[in-house]
Amino acid sequence: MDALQQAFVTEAADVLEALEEALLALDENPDDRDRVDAAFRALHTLKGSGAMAGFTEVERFAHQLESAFDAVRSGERVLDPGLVSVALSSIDHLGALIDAGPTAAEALVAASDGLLAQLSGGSGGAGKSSSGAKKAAVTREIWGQTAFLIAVSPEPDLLLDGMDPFELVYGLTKLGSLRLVALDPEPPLLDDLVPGHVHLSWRVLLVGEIDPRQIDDALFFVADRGVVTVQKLGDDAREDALSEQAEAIEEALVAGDERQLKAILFDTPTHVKLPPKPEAKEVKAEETKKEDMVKVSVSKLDVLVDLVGEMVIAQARLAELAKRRDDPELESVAEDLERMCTGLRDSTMDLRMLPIGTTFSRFKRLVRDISHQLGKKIQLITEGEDTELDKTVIDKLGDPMVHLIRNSLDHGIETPEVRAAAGKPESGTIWLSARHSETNVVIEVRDDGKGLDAGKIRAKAIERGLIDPSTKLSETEVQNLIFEPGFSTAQSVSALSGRGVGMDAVRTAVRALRGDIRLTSTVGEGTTLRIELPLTLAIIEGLLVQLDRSRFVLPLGQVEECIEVPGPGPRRYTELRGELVPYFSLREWFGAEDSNVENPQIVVTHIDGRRFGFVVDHVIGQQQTVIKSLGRAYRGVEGVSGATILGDGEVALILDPAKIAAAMSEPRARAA
Amino acid sequence: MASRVESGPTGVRVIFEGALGVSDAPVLAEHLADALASDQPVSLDLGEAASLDASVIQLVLSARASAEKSGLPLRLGFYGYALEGALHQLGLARLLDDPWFAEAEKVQYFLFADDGEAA
Repeated sequence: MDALQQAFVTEAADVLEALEEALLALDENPDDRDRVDAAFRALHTLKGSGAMAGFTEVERFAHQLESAFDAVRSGERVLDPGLVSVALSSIDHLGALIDAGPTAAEALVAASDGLLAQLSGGSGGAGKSSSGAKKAAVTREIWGQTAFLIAVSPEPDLLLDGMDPFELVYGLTKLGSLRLVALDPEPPLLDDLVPGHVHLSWRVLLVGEIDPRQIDDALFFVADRGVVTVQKLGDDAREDALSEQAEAIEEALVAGDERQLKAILFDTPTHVKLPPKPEAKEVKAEETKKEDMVKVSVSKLDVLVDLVGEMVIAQARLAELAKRRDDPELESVAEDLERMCTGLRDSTMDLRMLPIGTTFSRFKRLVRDISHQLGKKIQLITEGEDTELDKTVIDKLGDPMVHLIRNSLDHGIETPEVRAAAGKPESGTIWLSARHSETNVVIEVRDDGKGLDAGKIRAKAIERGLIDPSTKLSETEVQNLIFEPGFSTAQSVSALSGRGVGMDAVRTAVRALRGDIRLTSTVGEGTTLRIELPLTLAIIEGLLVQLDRSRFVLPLGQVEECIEVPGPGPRRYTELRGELVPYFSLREWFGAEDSNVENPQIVVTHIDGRRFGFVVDHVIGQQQTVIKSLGRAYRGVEGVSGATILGDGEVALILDPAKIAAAMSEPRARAA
Repeated sequence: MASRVESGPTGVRVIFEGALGVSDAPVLAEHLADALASDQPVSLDLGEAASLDASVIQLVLSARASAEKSGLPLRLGFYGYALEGALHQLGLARLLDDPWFAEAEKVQYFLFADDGEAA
């Protein structure tokens, strides 16, 4: 694919996403005219840019879909759930066509025809207006020879999206007689011009029997992509003046001389007192200054992040060197560099941040499709879509989130009948939210379904040999057993969430992102799953600790505090503000001999809602940690999630407290 | 090929040819910029262009502005109906009276040679 086609593929993904969002909103509120317009515009963009990039089947298919939405806009067709469903399938199909490249295979073309047949009403005529009621609603008023002054300033990249200003003019010529001038352009210099951009704006004088809504329609595509003002100059205008006094009109248009235009059009002496200026109709005023954007490939960002990581390591080495040499000048340079490195690191990480809403929107479709499939009434309420998270984290979070929502849809929310019998509203709700919490992001999936039955879970866990019948666990601990491998509360494996991928897979995925997942549930009221994730995976704040001569990093996000070991002896628990906290020696974990270190420390961490302590020889301090993946030979080492290079060039392993705690407590949990 | 560049003793000639649109804009911009950077008189020939869209007109206007600002000699050598049509459609017809356009030579096409109007 050439550069233009690549750009189209990238752009099309955004357009399809926007289209899907508009359709899902229309499914809930079919009368939302703005959404219908948005869908129409998105399809027009897809058609235009597809044609330009040589995706002829995309152009053909999008054109037909666009026609269907045009019919909805004009009231000739009703946007019912049937049409929304076909349109959603059409979006999936457009995605497949785009993935297939410029030349679509015969099978895809045949699939296009099938969908288009449905779209045109071949399958029951869904969406066809059954009465003239809708049509009557858009009956046009006929105006006299009215004059309008229209100013149009499209965004410079309009042409790159397949919209041609020539088309704009053509749309207006169909309405009446017009004179059009481009405003005296101060063109950008060649070096400053983005090829393909057009920095022109126009003033148009339009005279005819025109309903202002027709002008809105003609300028429909530009209205969303620039600034359009439509101003009525008056009725009973002289249409012949446009040809007879063309030059004078052109001059008045260039000068923006409204008084002169009125004088020409309405035979009004030019010296009359100027009437108060009519209110111009701002179609899109807020977009006068849209922020310039540049699209950068993720691979380029990855290279940048790697380089910044190397720089942070080099800076740490310089700081270490300056400290060892006791050179104030060198230390001053090292401090300056550290400040700049921190700024550069934060700015670079910020480049990779995306709003999590990009993931949320796909769940709306999921909830709609699956709730229909299951015969349940379920609404999805989202909040915190603007919460930003590293792109890698967002990408890797998609599948676990789908699994959680499918679980709520399949097992959590009851059927309308069951809900009604339980005195609940027939329609269930799933809440999906995201928010920042210190250096983490907290994502919650909550439903108002039947909740988890701790008794059943416990019985199943015993049956599966996950716990001993004598094991004493709190209700929350029992509920969290569903994260154990192979556990399922479903009576039968459903096609949706019971595909052999249990909640353990979700926990594994979340932990791979250095995150944590917790569950709380109340029978009859619902379930909440809380995922806590670090903002980024590339550089973390760590706590550097020492065992013998080796140093290790514990993720600071999981560290609560450091305390002294309460006296000698093989104790395994310490009391911390009334709570009994288990602790383990990292020496024991690594199979090292006991040491005679004075005042060993316990690093208290929180894992899955519980506290665990790790005994270390010394706590060195907070450390900016550039995460390096381990070589193949070390990848399987339990309890180690990566490595980092310290300021003195030594390598320190990054520990995974959750895995170590799980492994260290396993024998006791089973035997307790 | 959207354009070609010919160098001769009197300078550089940039020729736009065929139906030109937004997808041709990058290469046209490159050719114009290279020609202007050559420090030789540059002649832009639009006589062989079959059609020009707004992005190409924008390029021409920007090239002219750049040349004027830096004192480089860029002149419009030839033009035809494609330029005229595009300027009219874009509401820029008044530019045809501008000396930069007016001094260029308009290429005449004689479609009906049998009528005896051919050159």
